[in-house]
Amino acid sequence: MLSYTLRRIAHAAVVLVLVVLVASLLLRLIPGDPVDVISAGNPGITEEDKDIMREQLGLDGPAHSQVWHYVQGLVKGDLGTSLQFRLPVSDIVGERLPATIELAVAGLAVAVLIAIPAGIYSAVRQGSIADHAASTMVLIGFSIPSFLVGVMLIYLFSTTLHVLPSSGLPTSLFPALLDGDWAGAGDALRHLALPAFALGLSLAAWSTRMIRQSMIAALSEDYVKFARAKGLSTWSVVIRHGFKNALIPVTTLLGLQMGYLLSGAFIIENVFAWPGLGRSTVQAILFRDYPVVQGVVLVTAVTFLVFNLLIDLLYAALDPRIRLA
Amino acid sequence: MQKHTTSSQTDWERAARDYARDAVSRRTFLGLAGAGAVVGLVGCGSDSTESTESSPTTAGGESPSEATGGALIVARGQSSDSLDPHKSGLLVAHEVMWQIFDSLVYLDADGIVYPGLATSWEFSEDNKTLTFSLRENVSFHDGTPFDAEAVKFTMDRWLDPETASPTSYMAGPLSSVTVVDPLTVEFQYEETFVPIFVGLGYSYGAPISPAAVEEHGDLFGRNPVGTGPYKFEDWGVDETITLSRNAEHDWATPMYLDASGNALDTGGSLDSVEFRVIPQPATRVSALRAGEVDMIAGTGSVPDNQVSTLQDLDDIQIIQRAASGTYYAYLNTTVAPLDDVRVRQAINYAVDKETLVKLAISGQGKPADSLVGSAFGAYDGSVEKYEFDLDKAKALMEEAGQSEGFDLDFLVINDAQFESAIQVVQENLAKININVKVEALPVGQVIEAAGSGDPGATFFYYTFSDPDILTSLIRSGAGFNYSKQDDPELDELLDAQRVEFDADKRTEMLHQIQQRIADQAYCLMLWEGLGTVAARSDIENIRIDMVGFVHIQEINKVASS
Repeated sequence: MLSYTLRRIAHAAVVLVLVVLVASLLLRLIPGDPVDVISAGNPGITEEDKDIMREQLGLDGPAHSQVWHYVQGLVKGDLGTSLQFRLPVSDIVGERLPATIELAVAGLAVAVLIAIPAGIYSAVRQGSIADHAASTMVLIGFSIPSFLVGVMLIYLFSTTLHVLPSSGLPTSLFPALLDGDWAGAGDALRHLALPAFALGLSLAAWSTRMIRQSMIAALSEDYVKFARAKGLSTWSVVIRHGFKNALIPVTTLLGLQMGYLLSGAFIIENVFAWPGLGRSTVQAILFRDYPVVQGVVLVTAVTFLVFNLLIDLLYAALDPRIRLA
Repeated sequence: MQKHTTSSQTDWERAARDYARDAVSRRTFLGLAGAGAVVGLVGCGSDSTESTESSPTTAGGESPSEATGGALIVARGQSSDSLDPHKSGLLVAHEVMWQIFDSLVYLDADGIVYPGLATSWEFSEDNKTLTFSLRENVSFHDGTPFDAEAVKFTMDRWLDPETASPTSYMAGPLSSVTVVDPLTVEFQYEETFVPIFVGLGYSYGAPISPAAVEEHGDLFGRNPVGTGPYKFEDWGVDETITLSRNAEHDWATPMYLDASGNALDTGGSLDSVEFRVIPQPATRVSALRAGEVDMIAGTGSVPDNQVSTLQDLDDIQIIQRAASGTYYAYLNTTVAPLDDVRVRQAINYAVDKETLVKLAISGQGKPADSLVGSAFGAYDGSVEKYEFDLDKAKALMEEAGQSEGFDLDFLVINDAQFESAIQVVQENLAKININVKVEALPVGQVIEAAGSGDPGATFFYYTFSDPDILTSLIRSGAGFNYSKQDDPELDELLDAQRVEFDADKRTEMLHQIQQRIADQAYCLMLWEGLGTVAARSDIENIRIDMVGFVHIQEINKVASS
């Protein structure tokens, strides 16, 4: 188990290096450098002025040497300095990552809270009205893009009903909970409700479908028939014998969906003015703020790899037949 | 990007020409140096003095002195990059800087210069030296006294190549600044400089605290310290910028007016001001309707297609003002068959501008005819208007031997508004057999591609406060002139108007210039837009200045009942 984990970490490190290199070089393929962006619309600027700016921003060498400098810094734990804000990238990313993770986790929670009951129920009561209702929800959840769901939720709950705030996040949930600031946590939950639902809905739809399929398969296994024959109650059979086994494939796929949640969060963050990484990234790309984009790519890749590692380790816990070596 | 500046030009010529070139591409702006611009205030929506239900998020807060207090929350679409007046040329930065910094002088739409931190000024005999008398008893927010040394420090830093300010060229041929005594400062110019108040009358040249620059260095833009009516408090992770009232600020430039139209003589009345970034237009509008924010302001922040909906709401007011600028497309005269004036005229006749205004900007504006917009005093309403006339267009095409038509490469900024506009143009021009091939790019790339490549047409717009902008838009060899025509007659007029001090003579020249541009159809004229602010009805006395800014010192929040 330990050697497996170490090997996985080594793999992850290689993947990370490749991701950072490819992202850094790709970024520099976009025409126009940050100095061009800063000086667009300021034609009084001379080429000499621009060169001074490039020198100050560390953009005076060829692309590969800039990337090399960046990697050298990375090794020392230095993520560089934002060209746009002139602040350390580690500060920018560090300040914004918690909000993105909070949103992604809340989205996952919404998805799981909807999908598990809906998936189980529609598998057990196949063909019932509830099953059809769940299928319809799945179809809707799949078909409507998340930003549209977001806009509709805002219109309904903020503009019309005035019950939930439309945007922003004045207090973060986890720090508020840790401080025992219940009012702050309540406020955070109110702000979290709409974006989390908008983000989680399509994942909920997708997971409902997955759980339903997986449950149907599990419930037709011999051991389930045997359990029923033993006279166990229906729900005991469904949960302990059916659901527990159906959970294995679902967990794998949910883990992979973390990537979807992070990228989906980027879109949702824009709709809900969420103070996370996504918004800053869009802005950083437009500005050609290379260090920030690279920092975000790095952190997102790390998050994704860590999640996948955790999911793999989780299998062993869920399924005693799986041995990691 | 290609530079069109040649070494044969003197510094004065270059500076004078360059000062005007700003603001044309997107969010930058400039003040005005000329005279006689008249802009109508188009007031719409509900009466701003009536008080209605207060917004639920309004923070209470005591009211020191005579201020009515309250917190103002402004929603906008983009975040500022830096609040260092010398480091950013973007509108989204200067719309906040206005509140933190006072400028030496202020300029209004009529070209009148008002005192600010400078109470009076005097030109020398040869017009090359300008002496300012400074306001007494003013301190920066950090306690540093405001004096002639601070002004000199500000100007020296602005012009220092090390600062690499994207706006320093607006100071013109300023060679040195001399402290005469603590409240007197002298600006020496190498040459006479007509648009002298442009940079000084806006936040670009606004005095900054030397002590704060010393302390924060490169991070001054995140910790700005000025003398203005509101002081910087915080720049949040979510890009929210919070300001608080500067209780020591007890004066106002006479340019500012109170709700009854008299000169304002107090500082800001609000306890705090929050600039909140809500990138998605639909969310921004919802937040205003729900009362979570008090106002939507800033370039493009109020979506055109929401204006009529918002106007119908009782608790929302819409404030609009004709933007001083035009939207148009350059027709490249170096590309056949656009070198034929008849073809360019045909294109102008073939585009249905009324429909364009309806579709591209949801009716929030009007068709443009002269390159100098109708908001300018020097606008010439008698230019050839090229009203939509397909028959005329076809006739001209035939005369030019182009009835078979041709392919036209059209460069467009990749923004929803321009992309919907180009669809109308594309369809219109198809009627005269012109096959428009659209290339939509980000603004920086449009400028690069239009400058270095040879597109047939390039979509463009500007917001500016003086018709001298034409010098950089349409003079041959000018940085943004993508018509690339060679027209010595036009160039001569353009050069003459910028050194003409007699207002009537200058207007006459500007009329001739507009006639010439229209007759030669160097551009396809499209529309003139509106600057728009939407606010809750308990926000009082919102005025938009000529380049689209709101000055929060003037604004009050009516106490909730």
